[in-house]
Amino acid sequence: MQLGTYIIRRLLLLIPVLIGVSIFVFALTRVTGDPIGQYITPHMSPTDREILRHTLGFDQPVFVQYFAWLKELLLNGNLGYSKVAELPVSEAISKYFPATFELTLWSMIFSIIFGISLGTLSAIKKDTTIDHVTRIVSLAAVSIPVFWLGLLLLFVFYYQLRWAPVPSGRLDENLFPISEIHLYTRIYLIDTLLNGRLDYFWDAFKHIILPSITLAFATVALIVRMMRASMLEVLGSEYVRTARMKGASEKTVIRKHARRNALIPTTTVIGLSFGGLLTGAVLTESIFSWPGLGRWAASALLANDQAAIVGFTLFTALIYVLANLIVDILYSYLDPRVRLG
Amino acid sequence: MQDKKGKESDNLSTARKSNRLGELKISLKARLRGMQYSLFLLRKSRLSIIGFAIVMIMIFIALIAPLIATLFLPHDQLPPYYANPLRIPRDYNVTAPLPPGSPGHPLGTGQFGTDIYYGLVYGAQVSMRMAIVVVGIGFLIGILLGAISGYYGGVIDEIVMRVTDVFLSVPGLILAMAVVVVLGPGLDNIMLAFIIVWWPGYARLVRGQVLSIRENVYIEAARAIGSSSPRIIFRHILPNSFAPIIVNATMDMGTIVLVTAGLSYIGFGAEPGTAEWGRMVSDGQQYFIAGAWWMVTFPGLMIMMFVLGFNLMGDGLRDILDPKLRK
Repeated sequence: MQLGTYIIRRLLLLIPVLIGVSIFVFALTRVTGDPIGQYITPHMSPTDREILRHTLGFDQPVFVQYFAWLKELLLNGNLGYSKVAELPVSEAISKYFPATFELTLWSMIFSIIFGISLGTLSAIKKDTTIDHVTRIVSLAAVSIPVFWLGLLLLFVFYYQLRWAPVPSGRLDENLFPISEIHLYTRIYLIDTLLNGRLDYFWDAFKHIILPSITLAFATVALIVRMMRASMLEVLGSEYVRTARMKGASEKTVIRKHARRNALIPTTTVIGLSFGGLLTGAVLTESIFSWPGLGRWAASALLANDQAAIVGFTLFTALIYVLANLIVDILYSYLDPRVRLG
Repeated sequence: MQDKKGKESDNLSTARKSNRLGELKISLKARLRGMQYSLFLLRKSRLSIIGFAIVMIMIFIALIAPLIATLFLPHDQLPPYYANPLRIPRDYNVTAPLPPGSPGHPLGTGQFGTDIYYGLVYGAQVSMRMAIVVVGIGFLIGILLGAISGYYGGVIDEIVMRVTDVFLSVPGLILAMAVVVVLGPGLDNIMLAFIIVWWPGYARLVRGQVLSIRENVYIEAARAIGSSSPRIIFRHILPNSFAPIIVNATMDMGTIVLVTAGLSYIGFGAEPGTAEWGRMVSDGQQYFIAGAWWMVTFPGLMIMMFVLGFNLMGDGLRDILDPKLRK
């Protein structure tokens, strides 16, 4: 089928999945306690609460409640009120999302560039020292707990070497208040450059480097392993042999034929590792006090802030599903055989 | 007539029985040879042996934990018999955290004189139990649902596919967080949450395997001679679909422990002072900064060893079971 049809078909399949997630999450909120607790803000009067109770249909059967909840979510964007953020959940999400997005973005870019090149190198130089070292390190990297790695890096680079700044967030607010910068994308590294403030850029960079390395560590390892395996498989295949027989230089063989084909299964791994990045963000942001969704979710968990967790889960599901969709579309673009399915 | 017939059927049934016995012998021999070859392949890969050894050591520690955990503790600080073994006993003689090599505490103590060595040993038990229970039960549920879904197809298949789609659309830890915020903290709740979160992965895998095996000729043959569907599923399809699932299950053992440690680290898993490696890291965090490196380093190393062992073993299993590599 055509690429366009494939995309539309996949987008349509998204909807039942998201509905399913919303049902699951909704069911969880109804399991314990009085659900009204999720929507109460500190400045509500008892009459407000009664009105809320009626709007959300708590005096009616569960099906009606679900649709009332869904309507409230889709029409008003109301997911409840988060105690730990002291904001409505939707506002908390839009407040914390850019930080997590920036962290995940740079980690992803770093992982992909580093992972693909290291994986290719490891495959080309199979069974040499580089290969062995890469394999052992990536195996260890996949086994290492994210939070432990973050603590170790913090210990070495902050407490011992004093290279990294205080883990206090994205910028040193005392020296570089964010109000000085006009935010275009809310990605600090880009915005600071767009504003022409190199001092801000350098500070933001220093703050983001350790968390991104921590987050990227396991992902790099996964990509390296996948790239190496698929590269080895491709290098042994017939069309590569043909290319070599034709007299193509080794560089062309690798770049034009092998790597492009080896990238295909690697894209799947990249999509899957996105979930790992979101998960790792929860732990990494807690360690480095990074003001993102992960840290919010972790503190929400401890404070039993159900509305926040519900909002976080829904939002993460949306992001994860969209990311996988993009990866699948990319995959079908790279490998047209998939579209026939 | 009856007698003759009886004798006849007697001969036939004995013939059938001895034939079956012969068949059994042959199939056992073939299986044994297959296993010998697998062991041969396993032995060739040094890393998988290391992984296997690590896993064995972990299992061993977990099993004999009650015997060795209190080995070094000073006699007056031994916990009473009724104490919860998962709570690391405090040494009330200790005022400040002791470094490794201190008398009574070979690996040092935590913030309240809690013995690190004890925590590591019982932590192995906690992690092993968590991994085995979650992977075991999730595995069973997943296989059952996946096999039924894949074999029968139709409406059942659609339902199972949609349900697993929903579960697989949210990353594991985050879905577990959602379940756990409702259930409350504690390791048992986490165990339940993980089981709920993990079975869809296996169901999908098994379903995929079943779909491809179903098309084979021997399945058609089995159906032709009248085997019932459950029999076909259990005797033919499932044994042949085990390979990728076993690999996944092995590596999931490590992943489960990683995620458990992560949840405990945030503070929602084990309570403070429990012998769980992730919890020990979070308990020792603030002292880490002050220089008490042992409180964080040792538990973290144990987590890494545990996961590494299972990953290596899984890698080795994958290499063995990959039919392309077998001759």
